[in-house]
Amino acid sequence: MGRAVYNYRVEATTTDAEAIAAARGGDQDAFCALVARYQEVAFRAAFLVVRDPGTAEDVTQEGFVRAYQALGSFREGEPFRPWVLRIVTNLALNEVRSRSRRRGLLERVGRFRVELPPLPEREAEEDEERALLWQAINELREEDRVVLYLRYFLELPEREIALAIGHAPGTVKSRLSRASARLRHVIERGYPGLRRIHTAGEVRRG
Amino acid sequence: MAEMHPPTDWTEELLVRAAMTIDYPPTPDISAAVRLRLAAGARARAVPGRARPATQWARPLGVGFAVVVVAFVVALSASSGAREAVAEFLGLRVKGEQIAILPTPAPDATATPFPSPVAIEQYATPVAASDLATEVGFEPARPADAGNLQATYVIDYDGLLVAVLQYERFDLWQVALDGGTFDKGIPFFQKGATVLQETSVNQQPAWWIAGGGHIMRFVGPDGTVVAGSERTVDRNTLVWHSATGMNYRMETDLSLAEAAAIAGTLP
Repeated sequence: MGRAVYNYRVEATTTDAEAIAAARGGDQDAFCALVARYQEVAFRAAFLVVRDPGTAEDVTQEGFVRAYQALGSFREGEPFRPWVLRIVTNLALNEVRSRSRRRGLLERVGRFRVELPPLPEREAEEDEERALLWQAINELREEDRVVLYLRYFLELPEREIALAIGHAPGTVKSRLSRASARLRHVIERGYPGLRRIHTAGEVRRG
Repeated sequence: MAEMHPPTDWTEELLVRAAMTIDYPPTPDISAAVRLRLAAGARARAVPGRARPATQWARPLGVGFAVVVVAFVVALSASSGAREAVAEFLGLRVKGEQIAILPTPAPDATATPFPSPVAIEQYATPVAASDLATEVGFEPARPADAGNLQATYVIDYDGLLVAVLQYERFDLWQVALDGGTFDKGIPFFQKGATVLQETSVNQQPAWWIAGGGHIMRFVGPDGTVVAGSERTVDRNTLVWHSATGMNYRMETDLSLAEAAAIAGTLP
């Protein structure tokens, strides 16, 4: 299944800190090793937001270039992954916004209700449940979506989520809880069938 | 990768299952493209066929803003009230409010394609009235002669907590200023035009945005927009700061006189 497991494509012969230090000194190869290490999780984060592989690729690439240019502001000792994820997800959100503006479909009210194409999925028998769930997720404001993506889809620990969204670690749990509560509210209000399908599935599985 | 905790409710379980069934596209070789761009000084995009200026991401929002400012100045420079509003918009905050307005349209102009308003449930979390103070960290004030309180909500804009009290005839937003967050409105034109009017509530300066069709947002003391706080409002809006350090926003179909009378009962 598509469980998020990110195998490094290059051997981690150097630590992130060593690579960053070298990159700060102008070693582009060292930085590109970091890119190779984290490109998959960054690309997936971008894809979850923009829902288009080509755009996700552009966004991810741009994010890493910007990260390189901003290495001077990277805090020594912090993990690199959430830092670059923050850059990439912000770019992805910006892309969604500008895409919406271009289409004249903008709903700028603290979040964007963008009609996104469905994600590709594997198992046909649960299509209805998934389709409804994605519709419900799409109704969340973008901050909620991102924090849910980081936790449940990319499986980041809370400390990294905090760095990726730029908030104190102590707030992540409550943000996740609120995002989850809002999703629950959206489902109960607009997609009650999803709850029923889920419950029936649980009974069958049980 | 972090080990997932077992889902604690059905929503989490749905999310976990959805995550497990996503078929992500293959990850392209980003590192090769980045290597090319770094070698080229990042002046051009590295992916052929998807030409997009490398500066697209950095397109400054301020450019659009500047255009608006200039157009506004030209359109309304004849009025002293307008000059004051322009001064505020330009950052010369006179009375603690910052309000920006788009230019008056030509008679045959097409309405600005701003977003449609959405239901409050889509951006706010309903909470019991008895829990509201706990959720937002201050005791929301209740106006007199306002009818029954129908619902209460909390909105969390990156830590800026907003209490929304929903009455039959209006929604009342409350924020504890605590450091100087300002409510900022950008009326946008529709045929019939939005009217911006300076007024007062309890001797405190207030703004009345009549006609519906404007964007409200919160702005921090440093002038930056509070993330996610922009929202289209299709009703009249009265916004003011109280002497007690609260920012109030009333969204309503009432007239200014009616709204101000209710607002005047708040501390």
